Amino acid sequence: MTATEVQQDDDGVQVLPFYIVLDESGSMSGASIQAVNDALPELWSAIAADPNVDAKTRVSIITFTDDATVLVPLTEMSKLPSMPGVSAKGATSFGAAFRLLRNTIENDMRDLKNQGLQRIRPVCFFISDGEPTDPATWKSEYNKLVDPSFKFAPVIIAFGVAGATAKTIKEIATPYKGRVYGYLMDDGQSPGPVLREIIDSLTQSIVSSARSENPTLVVPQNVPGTIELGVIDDD
Amino acid sequence: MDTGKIARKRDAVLARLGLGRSANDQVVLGEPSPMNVKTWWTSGYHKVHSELPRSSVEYDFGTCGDLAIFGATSRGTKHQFRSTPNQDAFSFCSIESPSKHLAIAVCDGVSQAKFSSYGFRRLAREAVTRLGKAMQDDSDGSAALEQTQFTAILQEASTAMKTWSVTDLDAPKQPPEETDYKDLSSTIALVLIDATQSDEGGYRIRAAFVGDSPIYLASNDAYAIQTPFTKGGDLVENSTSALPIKSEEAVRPGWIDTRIPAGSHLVITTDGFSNALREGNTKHARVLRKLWSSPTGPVALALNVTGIDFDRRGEDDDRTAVIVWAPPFSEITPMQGTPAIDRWAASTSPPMQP
Repeated sequence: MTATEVQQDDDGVQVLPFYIVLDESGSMSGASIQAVNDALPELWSAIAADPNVDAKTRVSIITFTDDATVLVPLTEMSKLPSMPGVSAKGATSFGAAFRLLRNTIENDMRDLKNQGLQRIRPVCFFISDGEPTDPATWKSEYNKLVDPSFKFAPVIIAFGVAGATAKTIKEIATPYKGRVYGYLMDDGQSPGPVLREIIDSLTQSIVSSARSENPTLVVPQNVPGTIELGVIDDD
Repeated sequence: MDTGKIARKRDAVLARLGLGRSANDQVVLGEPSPMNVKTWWTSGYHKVHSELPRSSVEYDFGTCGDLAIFGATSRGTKHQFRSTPNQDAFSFCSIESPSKHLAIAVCDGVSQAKFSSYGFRRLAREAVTRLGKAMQDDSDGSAALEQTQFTAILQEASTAMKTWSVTDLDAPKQPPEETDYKDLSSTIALVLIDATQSDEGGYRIRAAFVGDSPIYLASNDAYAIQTPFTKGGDLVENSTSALPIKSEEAVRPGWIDTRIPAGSHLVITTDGFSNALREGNTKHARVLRKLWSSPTGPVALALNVTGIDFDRRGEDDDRTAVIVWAPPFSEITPMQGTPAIDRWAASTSPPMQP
């Protein structure tokens, strides 16, 4: 083999994009939303404090109620001046969340490529405290997100607290290395502390992933206060 | 001797190559890393490792037959930040009979593997030792080791690295039967190079590899990758094959059989270079091509000027490069050409302050 005549410009470093998709519906009010507002700044500072993790990861936060909003655009945590807070209001539209997530990922992957960076498959951490209030329509948006024809379809790891059900959480999580990763709040637990543990686990996952070989997603393990709904993917 | 003048001349040379220097005196390729904005003794980012005693930097060099070889490994900033050791290793030696050859192993320990610090060093040593023995045992004396023999060597090395005594130097402090073999995981490129020119011209290379250890040949003003390029496509899918494997499984290494043309050079690297080099034709590859165009000396300066310890934001992995030059060697290196630098380079100790 000989060197090609055309110089390659795609020699940027590899980056792992993470999307935290977070339920901000009215049922999250009180201890749940407070736990999220306590934990997110710690996620931000933990990633920003390690220059290597910071350089190899990009984090975005999308919140959803009746509609969905990009709370934090995909960025390096060190470039975020401060972590915005979240507040509880409205309904629980999974469809809005998945629609916005798909569009956002598509735009972000293009932007990363334009920056000369090499992109690793995005990871979505989906967190909800209940069932969708758009049961008839959310699935079609979800299917567009995970369809194999969407080349940037993310790995989705799903977490449920309070009113979320195992059935829905397992439906949302997607396979990764032969296994589906979904976590449901255990009986007898309170949503606030469990949400805190969930976000701490996401932080560890992001940091460990960036520190791993190449880098590669390191799935959250043993999230306190939850039971793992892991399913062996037979597909 | 005016050391400031020497430093300015060296900076001028780097500037002509379009390069800057980090606070820790590394060649900067692309965007500088926050890890090296301050000196290593003030930043708090460059910590002595807390595990097995291991140097952050190791190098070796010499000649074998017609060939000149230089190898170096440098601990990546991710390990410096976390007080963990370098997880790359290289090993090379000359084989004298039946004919002169270079045997080289380059290994990259898998980060998550608990005992990879032991695994990759053991693998490098087992593979090179067995390659040398196989050459000497070659009954027809034609050094005709081919792919099947290399595969057998790696199979044996995979088995050997899973056996140790807890009292062995640097071995895991738990016995093999209590250890998951995956906790030793390492990639390997095992390379054999004829040290004398063949009748067809050039110097024959045979290499078997497991996992990502890219091998490049100098080509025009860049490099051409000789191993399969696995980082292309819309998304990078990172997966690593490694040794050891289960005893009942068969090693299936990749294989190349090619030549170093006269006057050219071969580079074997670990994955820490793969972003910068890619298929060998990136702008950074062209810079390294200039820096590696000929053997560089003295060795004490080699890490600095050859860019093995380069600085680049997001490139935090350990990096290792073994470079083999075939004659005729270029007489001019990028750092030569100014008398003050030549005198400095020729000295055996740092210049005295006036």
